Amino acid sequence: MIGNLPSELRHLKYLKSLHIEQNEGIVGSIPEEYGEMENLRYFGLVYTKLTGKIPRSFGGLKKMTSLILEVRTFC
Amino acid sequence: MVVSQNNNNNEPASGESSNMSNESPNNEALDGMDQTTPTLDNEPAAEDDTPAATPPEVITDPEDPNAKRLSDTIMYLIDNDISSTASLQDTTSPQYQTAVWMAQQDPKPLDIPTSNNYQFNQRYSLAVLYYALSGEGWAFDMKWLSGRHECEWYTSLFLQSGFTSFGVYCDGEPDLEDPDADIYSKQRTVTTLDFPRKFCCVFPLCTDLVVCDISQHLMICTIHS
Repeated sequence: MIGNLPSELRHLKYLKSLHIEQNEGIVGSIPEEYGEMENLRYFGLVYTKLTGKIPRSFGGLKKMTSLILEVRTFC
Repeated sequence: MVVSQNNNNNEPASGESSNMSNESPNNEALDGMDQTTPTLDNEPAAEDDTPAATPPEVITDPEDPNAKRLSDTIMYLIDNDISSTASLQDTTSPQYQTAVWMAQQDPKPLDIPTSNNYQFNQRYSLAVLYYALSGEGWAFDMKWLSGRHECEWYTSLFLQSGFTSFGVYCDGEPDLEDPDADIYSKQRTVTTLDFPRKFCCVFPLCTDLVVCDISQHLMICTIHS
C-alpha cells in the first residue's frame, strides 16, 4: 500500500473498525474528516509512515474504545 | 489441489468479525512472508471478478453515453460534497480515477444517483481507497474493483491459526436462499476495513500454503507447496 489515506472514507458512516498494519508505504497524515465516522470503535494504524497529529475531531468520537497508532522505522 | 464446498456462512461479512478485537487483529502467523502473490491457480475467474484496476482510457466523445455518465458522476460527487472539486478536476487524482471507473469501467455499474445515495458513496469511497493506496500493487487478490458487491471485496486465507480474512467486512447479508435475488437490492454497509500485518506478503514459514477464497459463498482452496 503506497499513498495517502483519502478523506473519502468519512462517507463510510457505519464503519466500526479500521485496521491497517505494517504498510510503510502509507504516508501523509490522518485526515481530519475521519472524525466524522461517528460509529468508529477501533482505529489502528500500526507501522505506517504517517506523520502529523491525531485529528482534533477524534475528540468527538464517543464510541471509540481503541486508538492504536504506532510507528517504527524498520519493517 | 483444489477443494470446493458450499459455504453459506459468509462469516467475514457479518459485521464485527470474530477476528476483530482491540488487539490488532489478524496479525498472528504472518511473520516472515515473502513477496509472492498467492493466486488461485487454474481457477477460471468469473467474468465480473476481473478488476478494472489499470487506469482506463477515458471516454470523452460527447456522442458517447459513457462520457455523459462521467460528467454526471463528477457533478454528483461535487454537488453532494463527496469529493472536492479540485480533486475531481485533477485527472491524476484517485478521486478522478475512481469517477472514471464508476462511470465507465465498473463491471457492475450503478445508476448515477440524483440525490445523495449511501450505496453509491460507499462503493466510491472504497474505490478511492484502492486508487489512493496503489491497489494495483496489493499482493492479495481481494476482488477490489471487480463486479462483485463491494462487501465481497475481501479474501480469506487459511493460516496456522485458522482462517483469517481481510479486506471489507459488512453488516447485512445477501439473500442466499433466493438465487434470483439481486444482491444489490439490499443495503449492506461496511463496518470493518482490515489490512493486517504483512498484508504485502505471503508465508514461507508454512510448508504448505493454503489459499482459500470464500468470498462468493463457495470455498475454493489451493495448496501451494
